[in-house]
Amino acid sequence: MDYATAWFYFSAFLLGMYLAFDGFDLGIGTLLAFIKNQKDRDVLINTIAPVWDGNEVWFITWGAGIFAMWPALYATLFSTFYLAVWLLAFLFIFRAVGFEFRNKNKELWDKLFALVSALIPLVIGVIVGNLIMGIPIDAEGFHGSLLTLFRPYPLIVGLFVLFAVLWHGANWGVYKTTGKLQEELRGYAFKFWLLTVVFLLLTVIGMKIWAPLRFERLMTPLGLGLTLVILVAGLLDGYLIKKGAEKLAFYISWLAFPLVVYLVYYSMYPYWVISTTDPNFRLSIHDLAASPLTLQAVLGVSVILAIIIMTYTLYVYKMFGGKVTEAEGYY
Amino acid sequence: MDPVLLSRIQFALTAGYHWIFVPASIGMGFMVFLLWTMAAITNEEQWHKAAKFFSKWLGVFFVLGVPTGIVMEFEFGANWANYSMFVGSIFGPPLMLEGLFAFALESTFLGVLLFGMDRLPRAITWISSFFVFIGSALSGLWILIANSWQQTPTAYIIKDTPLGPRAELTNFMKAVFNPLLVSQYTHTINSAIITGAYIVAAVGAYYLLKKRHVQVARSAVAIGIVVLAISSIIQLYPTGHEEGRVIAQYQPTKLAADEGLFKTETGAPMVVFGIVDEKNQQVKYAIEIPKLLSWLAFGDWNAKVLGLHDAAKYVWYQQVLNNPNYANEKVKKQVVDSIMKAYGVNPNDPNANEKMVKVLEDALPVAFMFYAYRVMVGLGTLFILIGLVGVLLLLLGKLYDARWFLKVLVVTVPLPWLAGEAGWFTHEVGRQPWMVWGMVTVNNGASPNVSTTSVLITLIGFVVVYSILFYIWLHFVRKLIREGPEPVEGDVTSKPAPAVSVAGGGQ
Repeated sequence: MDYATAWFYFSAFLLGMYLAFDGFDLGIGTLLAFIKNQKDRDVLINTIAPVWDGNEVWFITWGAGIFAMWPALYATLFSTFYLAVWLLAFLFIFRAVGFEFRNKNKELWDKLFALVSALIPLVIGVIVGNLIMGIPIDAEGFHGSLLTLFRPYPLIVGLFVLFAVLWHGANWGVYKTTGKLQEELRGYAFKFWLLTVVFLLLTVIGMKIWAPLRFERLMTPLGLGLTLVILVAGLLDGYLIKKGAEKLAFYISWLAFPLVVYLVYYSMYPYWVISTTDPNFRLSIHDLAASPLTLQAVLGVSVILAIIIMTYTLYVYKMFGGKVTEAEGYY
Repeated sequence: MDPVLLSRIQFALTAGYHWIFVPASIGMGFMVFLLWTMAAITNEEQWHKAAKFFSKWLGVFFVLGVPTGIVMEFEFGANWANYSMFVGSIFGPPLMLEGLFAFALESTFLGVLLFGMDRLPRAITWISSFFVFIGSALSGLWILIANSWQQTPTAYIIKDTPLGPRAELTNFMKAVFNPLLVSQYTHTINSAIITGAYIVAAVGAYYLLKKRHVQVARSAVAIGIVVLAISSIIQLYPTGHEEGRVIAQYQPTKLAADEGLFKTETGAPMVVFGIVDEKNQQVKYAIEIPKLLSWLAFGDWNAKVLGLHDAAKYVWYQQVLNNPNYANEKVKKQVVDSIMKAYGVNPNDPNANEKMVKVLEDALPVAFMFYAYRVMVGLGTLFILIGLVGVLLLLLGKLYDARWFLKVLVVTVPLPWLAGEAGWFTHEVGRQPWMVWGMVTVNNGASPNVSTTSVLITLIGFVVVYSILFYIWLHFVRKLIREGPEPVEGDVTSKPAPAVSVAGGGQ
């Protein structure tokens, strides 16, 4: 395996970890819109309060990894979709402060917080959807507008990520709470599980229609095998939710994210960018890569650090393990 | 308006805003670690309460430090696309390593510290405070590796690639330990520690003046003053002095503008203060110390210090045209020509080089830099004075009753921020017009396809959102001050202020 390929799959790992970790706190954030009782919402916020900040680090690292290893891709995407990028940045800013400052007016902040928490996975899904589908680009440059981003297929992928995050968040909530709130969340976990499975299928079918090049890769033995594993695990989760095996249900939805991201990356390999208007215009992970020494110099240390981070993160989750029943924050 | 200028304004605004929260987070991280250490050593209640109280302050500073930092990362790709393509292979890895090395550590253990200090064993709280500080210090390290490399680029080669000319690494560790790194890093981290110490001392002083939480307040003032005295001296020597020497050697135009030195001099004096007259290229009413600048910059009382014009000539002819780090003459011509064209100079013009020297000279607002530099140095000197007077009062046993001194501490608490911002402005304005010294100018580095309207929208967005955030943030700082630390047993002054005393504070 060459270095660009190794980085490509390491990038998949970083995005997968981001969605697995931050996914459930984004899901909890969005679920606030569905929970009427304010004390219940406080409990939910407290289940994620100690960990959300660490979870967001994976996103920053994923972005910086693309900057470092494919600077031309990073620069082109960010400057081409300038306003969309800043929308995402403002969402992150708002979410961070909303977390700490919600005590001021909980009714209002919780609604805004839910909206922002829903928009983040939606926008990330839309970005990934555009990478899968390709954009109207050729050697002369980009021929589209901001609206190009929000074509039907990317929106399907965006909704898939949103529902998956809600399913995952509800699973986390069931795992961390008790009593009536837990029962309420179990209902949501099942509903959003169902929507996730439906939209996973739509994402795959849509790939056949709108991104045949990606679909071809999906139909290779490894791609098909992985798709089946994800589907079986996903279907199993619905059964586990109903049965009340909340811990296992959460572990499975946690694991689903890195698997799905890996599958998406696998289907895209080796082209970061394909064109919807010029079938011959493609930019591969090798075309766009940083200089060879950059790719070599920090791969080993990055993998080791990722392992260390995983270790202490799991330790911290263990420290804050157990059910949350109180509704008090640190101030 | 020109999108490049708007992007520069936006970058200055967002970076300056980010720097309100970063030094406070790093510095407060250090102070919180010290306070938890004191609590562990003495096992006295007032230290525990102080450590807990200032951990909450750390949380409030950290909240805005993180998202305002994400903004910086986005800005490189969105507003400075050509720059990102040119140096992304070198500038990107430190940003990524910051996340893996430092940021993950810092934010994970801040959660443990804030949410665990009431229920987890004290040893875990102590080690968490250590990880938070180390994480933030390492985070600063990677960011300053990236920043210092742009100021004194090392260990790279500029090649022509299918993606256009770009700088590529030749040796990772040599690029990391570029000439400016060590002095810039120590100077910057130490400035953050000054800020943290100042806040702790001033908050303590405020409670002493109000006769509330007296025991916790005494601990805070004492530890704050001691750290302030030590760190403010380190800020001058060796860190500030060393950074100045590196800049004199590698960035002569920055030095000349800092010092208002228009003409080359041997045995150049240090101008303590004066009025800059840019039009007539002189400093009026200057109060000077003879030969000191030559000695400070080069360790020789009679060394030659380049004036702005000669410094610009040196930069253009030696550092740009004679830069050996190009793969071949063709790519060199391509890069140099693009720099000229970005400033409206025709490369075939026989006077092209002289015109470029003029461009480099005109890019530096000398008066602004001269004053900003003096604000930084002047305030640094004031901090040494305040620190030493405080330590003297502490040794005499009069610190807690010296109301005039406590008042000075409270009133001057914004000054460490002012000094830090002034320092960054001299550092970053002083590299104009270069984004990467000798290679990429601001005109070359901007995104080619971003319109004035787009940048205007985001710039206005930032002004609005950042103002609202600052207002909300101040509200939380006020709330922390009003609530104060948890009561210490037997301290009759441990009580929160009555709500009416903070008119308009709200709940």
